[in-house]
Amino acid sequence: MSNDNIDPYLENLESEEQEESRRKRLLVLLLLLLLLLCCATGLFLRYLANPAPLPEMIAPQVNINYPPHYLFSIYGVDQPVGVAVSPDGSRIYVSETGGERLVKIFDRNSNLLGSFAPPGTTADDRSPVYIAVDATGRVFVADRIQNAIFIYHADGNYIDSILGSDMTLSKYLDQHLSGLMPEGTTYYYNTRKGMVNLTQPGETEDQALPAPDLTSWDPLGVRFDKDGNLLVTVVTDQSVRIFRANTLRPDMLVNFSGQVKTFGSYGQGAGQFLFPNAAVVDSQGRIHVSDGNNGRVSIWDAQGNYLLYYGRGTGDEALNLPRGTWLDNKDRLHVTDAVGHTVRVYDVTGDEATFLYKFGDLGNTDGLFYFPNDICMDNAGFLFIVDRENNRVQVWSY
Amino acid sequence: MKLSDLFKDSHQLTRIIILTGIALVLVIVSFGGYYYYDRYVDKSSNVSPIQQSITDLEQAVLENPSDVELRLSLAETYMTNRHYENAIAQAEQVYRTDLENERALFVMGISLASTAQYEQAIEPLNKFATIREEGTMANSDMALETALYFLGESYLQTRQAREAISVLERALEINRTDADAMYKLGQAYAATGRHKEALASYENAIRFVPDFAEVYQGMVESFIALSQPNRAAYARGMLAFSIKDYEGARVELEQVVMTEPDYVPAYLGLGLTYEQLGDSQYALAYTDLALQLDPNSQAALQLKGRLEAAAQE
Repeated sequence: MSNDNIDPYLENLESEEQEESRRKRLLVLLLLLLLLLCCATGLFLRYLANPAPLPEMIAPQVNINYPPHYLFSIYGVDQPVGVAVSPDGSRIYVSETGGERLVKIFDRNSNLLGSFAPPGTTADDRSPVYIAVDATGRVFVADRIQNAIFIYHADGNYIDSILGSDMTLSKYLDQHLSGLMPEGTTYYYNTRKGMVNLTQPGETEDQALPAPDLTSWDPLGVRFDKDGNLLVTVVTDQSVRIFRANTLRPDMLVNFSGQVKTFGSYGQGAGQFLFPNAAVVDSQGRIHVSDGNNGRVSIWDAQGNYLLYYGRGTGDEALNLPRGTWLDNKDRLHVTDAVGHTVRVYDVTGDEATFLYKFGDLGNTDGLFYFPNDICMDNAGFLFIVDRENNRVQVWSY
Repeated sequence: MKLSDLFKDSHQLTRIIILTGIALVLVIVSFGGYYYYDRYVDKSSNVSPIQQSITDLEQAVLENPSDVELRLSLAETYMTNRHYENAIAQAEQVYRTDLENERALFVMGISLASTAQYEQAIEPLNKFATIREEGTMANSDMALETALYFLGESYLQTRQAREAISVLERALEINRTDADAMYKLGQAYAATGRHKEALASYENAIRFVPDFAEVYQGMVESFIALSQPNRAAYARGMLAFSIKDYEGARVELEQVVMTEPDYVPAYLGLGLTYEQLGDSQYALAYTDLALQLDPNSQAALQLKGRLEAAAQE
């Protein structure tokens, strides 16, 4: 074979090798792009199905802590003090202490859907404060004048009232009517009028009964834990009481058994409270109680034994007047500091709480607070914060 | 053409890669856009009452540009809501046609001082104060007091401390409980080397606002200037107390009572500090020491009452 013949052959061979190598590189690139396309599409579809902050979707196991940003405000409320969101996130419940003192329902775009109040009361008779919504969408509202926790359907229709650790209004009536309360009986109780009113089916006139004794019952804060147990802070004896989920079932209210765990007492010492405002349960089962006038949050074990407190000290981590709190699924406790006009966030995954950051400051423009009083978060990572003296609910997003 | 053939031809492969790349970019842009819309865009259907009132006034001014009252209302609304640059712009429009307009002078002066334009703030504030001083109710005129406070601040910031003293003293004649004016007056005295008067003014301020941290900082500087290191330590202790550094406060104040055992404010500070640290026995002991030295100390009597009430519960 002459050299003239070898050269084109070698050139051809070389060119084929180069083409093969290029093809391999392109295939790798294509695979990489397809992989990225699948990831991006999957992430997008996942976000559409279950919206959540991007860092939590990409790396759910990694603790990335960053403060949320202000999004918008819901107006049309008068001195709001409590806020809660329905389980599907479509309804926002806000309690007012000004004006007509109603609980108002808003949609996510801040449109007013409706409002409700305890039956048989006027604005002077009621003062709704903290709100909690259970997994079925029932709304529990603590009322400081009525000394009761009112239970409503999601649309605001009245169901019943918790009048003490082992008493509901339906149970009280059932006892007075010797278990013969006809189905369809409507009833309500106004503490200030000192009278229970009920209307039996087919009757047009109210029947009046004597009032139950509520002297040892003055509920303030209400929160549900993930198992559906209701944690109530009570001002009368400065305690926290826990109602088991099964006692709160609709069919159990008439036989309300009051399976209650109680802890705390009045005072400034360890294990004591001065106006406990909200009690929430972390992933370890410990209970964090915002101890309003003591300017701290105390931690209790699941049995109600006192462990420690935090929020006292220097700088940004120091609480002034902690009110409503919310614990997210990463065990970050969000505390509204009413006098500090801010929200302080603590990591409570460890034995002791670690301060992470605060957001908001004193003012009346977007993202500033004037006596914030309560906070809650929906499943998508949106925060709802009642900004009492600015007459609005601020919406922030992670 | 079989699917496998696509991967044998590098030209076809390149085309598929380009298409995949475009699809990837489209998905990322769509997701990013949707994420931004969902988490950063205000989708609420209502506007804040403040913004609404500003919008309404802006519209009214656009429709009636020569209406001075409307323009001044807009300027005042801007100022109240800290939109100082807009407030200045509107007030200047009125000021150009009416050099004696009190509302325009007030808005301009306060807004300029609030945006640290102290040199420029002095003239309108001075004019406003001169006009209002001629009023029959000047001695109870709170707008005048506010203007004097900002005028004092402006003088202080432009190193005219003597002028600052004069207007701040006048402000305090109108409102004897303005702790901020007392603090500024203390600063003005200190700037002219009159540290004893500065300390008297600072002490007046903390009588009204006991946790006024900046005042304690001013006291530290004046005590040092007067070569009273122990009193400076007391002020440092109270500064720590006012920012809730109770352990730091305890260390400083205990040092003070060791070197100056008859200084009542330090004992009272220790009583307050131990109360916050949750040690009521120490708190009561220090409060009793304060009362032994000054049985009429109202602050010590109040603290003792509070501690005894807590002990009984």
